Amino acid sequence: MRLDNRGLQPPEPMQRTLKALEEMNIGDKLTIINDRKPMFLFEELEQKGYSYEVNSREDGAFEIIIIKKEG
Amino acid sequence: MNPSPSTMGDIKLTYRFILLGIFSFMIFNLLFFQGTYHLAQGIYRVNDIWVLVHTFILGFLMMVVMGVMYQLIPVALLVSIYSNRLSKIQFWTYAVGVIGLLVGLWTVNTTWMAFFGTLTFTGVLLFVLNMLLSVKKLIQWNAMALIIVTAIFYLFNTVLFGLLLVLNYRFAWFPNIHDQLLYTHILFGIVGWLSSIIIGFSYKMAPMFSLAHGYSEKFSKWIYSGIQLGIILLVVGIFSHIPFFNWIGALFIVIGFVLFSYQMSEIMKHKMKSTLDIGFQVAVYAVYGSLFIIGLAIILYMFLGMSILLPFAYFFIMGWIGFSILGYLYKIVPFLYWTDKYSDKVGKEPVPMLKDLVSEKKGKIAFSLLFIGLIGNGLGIGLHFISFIWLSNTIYTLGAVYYGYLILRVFKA
Ligand code: HEM
Repeated sequence: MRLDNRGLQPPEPMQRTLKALEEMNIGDKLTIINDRKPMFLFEELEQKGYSYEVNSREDGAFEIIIIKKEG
Repeated sequence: MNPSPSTMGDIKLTYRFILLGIFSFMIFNLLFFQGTYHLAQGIYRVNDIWVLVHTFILGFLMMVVMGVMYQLIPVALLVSIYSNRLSKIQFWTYAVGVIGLLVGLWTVNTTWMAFFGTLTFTGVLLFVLNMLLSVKKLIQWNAMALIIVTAIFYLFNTVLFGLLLVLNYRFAWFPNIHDQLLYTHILFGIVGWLSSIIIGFSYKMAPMFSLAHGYSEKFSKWIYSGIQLGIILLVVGIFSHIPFFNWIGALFIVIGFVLFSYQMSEIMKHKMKSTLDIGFQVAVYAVYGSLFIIGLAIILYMFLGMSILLPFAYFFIMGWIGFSILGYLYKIVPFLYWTDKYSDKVGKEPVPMLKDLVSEKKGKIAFSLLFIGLIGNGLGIGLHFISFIWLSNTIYTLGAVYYGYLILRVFKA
C-alpha cells in the first residue's frame, strides 16, 4: 500500500498512517510519503512490531517504508 | 508549500526564548515568597503582585509560547515564518522591555512603567506582525489559522490595554475607566490569548502526542464560538456595569471549557499510544483541572462573593495555564532539540530516541512537587495562612528548580 501525505496539515498525515497501519497484516508493506518525518510515530512503531526505513526524496519529502513484522 | 529548514523559525532563537523563560520562572519563585504577605491578605493590586504576575506571564509563559510558536506555526500550518530577522529584533525588544517594565512596576516609577511598557508593547507588536505575515502566506484558510489569528488579536489587545494602564498611571488620561481597562486586560490576556492559544494548539498536539485518530471534532466550532461570545459579553458587562452580561458571558466561557474537556476526553478515548508521556499527561490533567477550578469557583462565589476569587485566579493561571505550558514544554523541548540534532540521521544510523532525552521518572517527581506546591499555595491564599504558603511554595520552588534542571539537561544530550 502507498500513502501520499504531502501537503496535508498535521495531525492528518499521522492519522492517515495510523489508519493504514491498523489494516496491515503480518508481512505487509506500507510506503508513506511525508513532508516531515513522523517523529512521534517512530517511537511507537518499534514497540508495536513494525520495522521502518527512511529515505530522503529529491523533492525534499521523505519516503518511509513500514513493514509489519512476524510474531 | 513545504517550508524548508531555512524558512522555519530560527531554532537558536527559540532556545534563547526558552532559556530566558526558565530563568524568569526561577526568579518568579523567589518573588513569590515576597508576595505571600499581600496574597494571604487577599490583596493583589499592589506593586509586588503586579511584578509577580508579569514575571510569570511575560517573563516565563509568553517567552516560552512565543519561542515555541516560531517553530510550531510552520509545522502546524505549513507556512514559513515571515522573517527570522524580525524575530530576533522582536526578541531583544521584548526582553529589554519586560525587564525594564518589571523594574518600573516594582519601584512604581511611572516614567519607567510608561517607557518600558511601550517597549514591551512594541516587542509584542513585532511578534504579532511576524505571525500575521506568516499566516498570510497560507494558501487555504482553515479553522486552526482562525483560532491562532483570534488568539493573536487578543494578545495584541492585552498588551494594548496593559500599555493604556501604565500610561494612565503616568499621565492620568482616563482615570474614570481605569478599573474597566484592568478587568478587560486580564480577561483578554488570560482567556482570549493564553487559554485560547493552548486550546488551539491542543487540537494539533493532543492527537500527535497520543497517536489518536478517528475521533469527532464536531464541538470545536462551539468551543470557539462560546469563548468568543463569552468574552464579548463580559466586555459589555465590564463597561456597562450590568451584571447580567457578566453572568451570561461567564456562562458561555464555561460552556466552551466544558466542551473542550469533552473534546480532550474524546481524543483520549481514541488514542493508540499505550502510555502517555508525563509532560503530556500533565497537560491533559490541566484541562480537566480547569473545569474543576471553574466549577468550584462559581459555587463558592455564590455563597461567599468576590472575596473568594483570588485563590481561584491563582489556580486558573498557575494551574490550568501554567501546568498546560509546563507539561507541553516538557514534551516539546526534547522534540525540538531532537529534530534539530538528529532528524537527518534517523533511519540511517542509530540515534537516541526522543524519550531518551528526558527522564519520565524524574519528570514525575518534578511535576508532583509542583502540583503539591500549587495546591498548597492556593489553599494558603484562600485560607489567609502565610506560614503555610511559605512551606508549600518551598515545595513548589523545589519542583520548579528540578523541572528547570531537567529541561536544561535536554540540551546536553
Ligand atoms: C505591555 C505589556 C503589559 C503591560 C504594560 C501591563 C501592565 C499592567 C498593569 C499596570 C497592571 C496593574 C493595573 C492596576 O492594578 O491598576 C496589570 C495587571 C495585570 N496584568 Fe498586565 N500588562 C502587560 C501584559 C500582560 C499580559 C500579556 C497579561 C496576560 C496574558 C497580563 C495580565 C495581567 C493580570 C492578570 C493583571 C492583574 C494583576 C494584579 O492586579 O496584580 N498583563 N498589567
